[in-house]
Amino acid sequence: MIRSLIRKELSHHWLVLLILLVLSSAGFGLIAVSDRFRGVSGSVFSSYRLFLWSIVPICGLVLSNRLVVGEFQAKTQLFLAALPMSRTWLVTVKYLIGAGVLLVLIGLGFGISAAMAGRGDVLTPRFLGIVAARALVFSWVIYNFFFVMGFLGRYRLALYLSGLVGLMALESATELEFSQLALVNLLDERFAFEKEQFPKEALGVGLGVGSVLLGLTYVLALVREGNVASLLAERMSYREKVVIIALFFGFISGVVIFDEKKGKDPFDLPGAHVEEREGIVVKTSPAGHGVLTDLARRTADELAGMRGFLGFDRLPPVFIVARPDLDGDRFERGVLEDSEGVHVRVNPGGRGWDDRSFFAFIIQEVVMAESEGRLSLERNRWVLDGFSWYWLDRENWGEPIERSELLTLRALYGTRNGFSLVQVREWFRFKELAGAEIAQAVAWSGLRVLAGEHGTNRCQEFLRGVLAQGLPKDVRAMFRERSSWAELEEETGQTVQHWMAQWEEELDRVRPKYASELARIPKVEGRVRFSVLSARTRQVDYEIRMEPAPETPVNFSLSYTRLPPFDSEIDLQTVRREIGRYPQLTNGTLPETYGRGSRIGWVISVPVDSLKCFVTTGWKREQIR
Amino acid sequence: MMQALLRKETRQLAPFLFLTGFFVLMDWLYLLAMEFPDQLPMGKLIDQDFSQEGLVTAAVLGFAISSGLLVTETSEKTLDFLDGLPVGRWSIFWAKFIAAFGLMLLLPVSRLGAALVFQSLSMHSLDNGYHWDVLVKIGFLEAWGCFVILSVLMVLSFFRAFALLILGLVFWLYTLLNVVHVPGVRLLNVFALADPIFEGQRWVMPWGRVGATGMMGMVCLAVAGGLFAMLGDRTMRLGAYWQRMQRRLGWGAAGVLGQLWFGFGAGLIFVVWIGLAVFHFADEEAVRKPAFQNWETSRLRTKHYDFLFRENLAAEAMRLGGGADEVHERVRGFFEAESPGRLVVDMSGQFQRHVGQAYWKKIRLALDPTMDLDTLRSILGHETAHVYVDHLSESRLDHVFDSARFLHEGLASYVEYHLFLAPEKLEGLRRVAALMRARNEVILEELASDQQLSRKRDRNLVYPLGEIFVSALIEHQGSNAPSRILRAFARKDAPEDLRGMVLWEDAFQSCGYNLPEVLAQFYMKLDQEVVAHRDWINSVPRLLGAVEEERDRIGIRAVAKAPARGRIVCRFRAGVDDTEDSYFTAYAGADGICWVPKSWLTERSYWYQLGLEGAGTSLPVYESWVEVYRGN
Repeated sequence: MIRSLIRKELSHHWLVLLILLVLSSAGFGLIAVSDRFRGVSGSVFSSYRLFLWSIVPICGLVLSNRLVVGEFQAKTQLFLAALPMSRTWLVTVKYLIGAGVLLVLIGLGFGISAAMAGRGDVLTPRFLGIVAARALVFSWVIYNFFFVMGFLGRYRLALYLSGLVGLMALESATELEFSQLALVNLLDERFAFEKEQFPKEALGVGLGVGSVLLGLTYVLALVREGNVASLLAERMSYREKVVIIALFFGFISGVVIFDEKKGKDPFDLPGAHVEEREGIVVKTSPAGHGVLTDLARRTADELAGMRGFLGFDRLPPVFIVARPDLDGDRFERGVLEDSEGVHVRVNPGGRGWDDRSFFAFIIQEVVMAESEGRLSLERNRWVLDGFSWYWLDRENWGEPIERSELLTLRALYGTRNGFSLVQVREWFRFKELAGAEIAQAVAWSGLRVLAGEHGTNRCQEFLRGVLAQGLPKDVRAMFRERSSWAELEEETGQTVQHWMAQWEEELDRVRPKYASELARIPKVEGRVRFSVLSARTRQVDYEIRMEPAPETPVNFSLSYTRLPPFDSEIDLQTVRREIGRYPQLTNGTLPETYGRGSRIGWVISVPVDSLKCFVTTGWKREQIR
Repeated sequence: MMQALLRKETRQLAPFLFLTGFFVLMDWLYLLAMEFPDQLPMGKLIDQDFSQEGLVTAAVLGFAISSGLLVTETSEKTLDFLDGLPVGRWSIFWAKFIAAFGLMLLLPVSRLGAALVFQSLSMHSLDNGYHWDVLVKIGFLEAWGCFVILSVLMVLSFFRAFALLILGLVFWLYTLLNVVHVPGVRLLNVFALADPIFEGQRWVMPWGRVGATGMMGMVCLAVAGGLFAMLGDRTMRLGAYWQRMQRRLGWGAAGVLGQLWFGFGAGLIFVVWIGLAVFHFADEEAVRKPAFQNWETSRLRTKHYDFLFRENLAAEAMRLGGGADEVHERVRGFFEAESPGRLVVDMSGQFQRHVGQAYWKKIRLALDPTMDLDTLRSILGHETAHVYVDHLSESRLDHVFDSARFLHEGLASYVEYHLFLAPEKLEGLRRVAALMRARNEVILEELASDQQLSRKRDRNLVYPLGEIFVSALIEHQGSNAPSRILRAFARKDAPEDLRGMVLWEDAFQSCGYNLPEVLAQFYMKLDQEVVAHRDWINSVPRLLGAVEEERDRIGIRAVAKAPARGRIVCRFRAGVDDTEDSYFTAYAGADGICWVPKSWLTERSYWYQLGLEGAGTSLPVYESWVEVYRGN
């Protein structure tokens, strides 16, 4: 009877099984040939591994559909149930036929791989045994999985998807990585090369999982005389499928959102020097670096004071790492994608290092990180730009602004061609044209005018209202947020225009005192030209002119970057520099070739002693024609 | 009647309308829940949303729709009802296609809507336009992609249970044709349709890809329509006709055998065709050469290695094998590690790009009789070092290869040059490093990310720069520093998600090492090399590129202010993220131009990288990559 049953199954499915064998073999051929031509896999068994990953699961799916799902959906298993043999044998025959086909398939792949590998590998029986064991156990588990799913009929789609989601959720919520799963380890990158050690743990887990799945198969097929499987076998309607898929994607989105919203893991620098204040952690690496340790202490003090002033409960931890190849006046912000904190690299002993400039930088970065990037919105950005210097200049609060000479001079220089509300509203553009340090001083002067007219307490409330709003990083921020303009009007009881007029008035008041110094600051002008190398490529030539010409030669730098198609604030870490000495050098050529049509942003900067910063031509954005 | 049919089909697809609406809703919800909507300008949205991802979602939806669109009319026996209507099969087909296509179009429409809304909320003084031209182009390309995807999937739906398998085969076929550089095959990648290529601020339309995928879509649409028209009665009549023919010709039982052979034959033809096509494209030269029988492979066993080599190079193999165990011992001593076991060294094949390559306990090596023994031994040492790096880090460095390649190759190069080669050989390598430093092109972030480095510069810079880094590491932290760091990567409690410089900091810190000081040493050594090679550096001119185009080839002519020593070489790639194995390398000919066939560069822009080979360095020195936009 069993022989008849086998004959019936084979006569019923022979063509499909044959096609499956042919197509899968073709698949293996394609994988092997493309791997060979790529020439980097190192072994034919690498192609076999790809075959096991990509084709074998599909074959398992097709076999289970053909042998189980089709039978139960068409209800033809009822005819089989009428035969004088146990239900266990019915399931076993189907299981073995499918397993046999799969065995032929992976055996063929294994045999061909072994035959081809002979020339370039040492095929010891142990090595072949390891590869075969890995392939067999993996394929067996996959086949058992799809076979048992076949008995779940209409619910198998839901289970496939929920299994996938479950894994994703597990990976997201725990330290588990998909690549660490035992089943995945069976086919890891050592598959084609490990000749001595059987992956015992992975094999054991695979055999265990496979056995459980096999047991489940018999339970589902035999429980209540197979009625459960029959009931489950109804075909799913469109609606059911759609609901399942919707639930699946809904769940996936939920998992992803949960994963990103759950709060970042704290980053750490093991062994670093730590300075802690209330709500503040500053770590510096390497520990034992005297200058850095001192910097950590002072940074923590600055941040602690600032935290209290703005009313934050706590601020993101700060990690300061020494990077000796940086100039002292360059600070580098590291990206911590999945961790919390502000990670910066600096060179405290480097040329051009200035403590206050570093504090201004770190205060901006920390407050920006606390707002999760919300303060980069243009309408509030000027407040953040002005705040760091406003805070650092706190010993002069209540005094006329000219007590802070350097900042006043910078602010006056930044507003020398007139200044109005339009420029504050278009802060990004203004900052690009004036230069970051100058723009920060201009914003600082605005805050000082506010404090001067309405008191430092009002100004503090204004700053808290703008910088420490504690907004959630989602659409709610748009509705809850108060713009700097609304906050300003609320705190002062005056219109923004009125405050602007006071600001202009204050700058006009002090401007005559600095007129001679301002007049000495050179005006920097520059130009780039695109010379034709060919119809499609250009070289970039530049020229610089300074008026009045400096009394002694001065270094200038041309900073330039390839621009993305959509304009935004220029990322200073993508900027390259050409440095020259004026007036010995008034023109030059950039070393790279540029494709016609690409975009370049450039600025020429010259250090000015009286300002202790650079004056620039302002960033120019040009398309290369 | 057509309207009625469309209404009927739309009603039938109503659940998918719900599904599409759900996809759209989830898309919006995700953005609203994860981002500030008024800080989501189009540039950011295009980077994270308008890429292959959009068309992949369309493909998932298309698969769900198409699997039941045509063939279920027969399985659920509703085709007879449709046949009873006073319209032809093709009208029914068109109604189904239009309804399904309309449904799929909702995805790009919604995404364009999102882009428009978020851009209007996110405008600032530097970017205050709606970029209508970009929106229109994205919309067109995504709609085009939906059309092609739906057409292909409708054909696949006729394979029913085999649809996934066929899809797998198509994927591998595409991969294969791509690997062997069949001209134009990249243009068939429908998922790359909406990949942004910008010339300035103008989105460049990929007309070649639009045409190629359009042809594919139309052919598939015609095939799907034809198959649908044949469903039901006609297929059965064809089957009955076949059986009558069998009887008439007296085939009987032979018919079954015939079907069997037909199945086998079809498969065989398929496989043979692929094989022939591949060998034809891959080795056109071979057909013009006389054929010789391959030499047999032999084996040489030493204490630590199994060498496999062709018999014709037995003497060479034995020469190398003679001192191989000493090579192994030196490397083992350097890493202060236990032996990972026997290593197989496959020297039976040839490489196109590398003289050696290492895998887990296996090495492939090109046994070149023109190389001296010291060089061969140094290469064996280099590759053995890679095996030890993998062994000590328990493959962890492989898992973070993008961040760790610099260290991987640095260690191997250090072993190669310091343990096996004469000191004067180091000069050729260090000159490259010195040149890059002098040009201010040693960027740590790029060294800690293979992808970033490959996008901008020559990714092989990790050899010279890595060697100096490891030298600095050993000078600063001692000779056991490499093995301690590698073991630190493998420690059980190492954080999983660290990448780039942060990953290095973690490994160094856990050993109690001072990365910043090692980096200081690294830069100091680089600067010393710059001083030592100043004259040579000054003699290497910067190379600018002038593009020359002819009817069927593109060339790059190097433009330099001073005559270039060495040989001008130029590499080409079609896309910014193409891997090194798909680069095209050309040398300057008598006309001073590096030519490449136009058919190799089918995209709307391509990249080239000029370099100098044999200018007193052990590696070619390359300029940065340059993107060139092709004219209309």
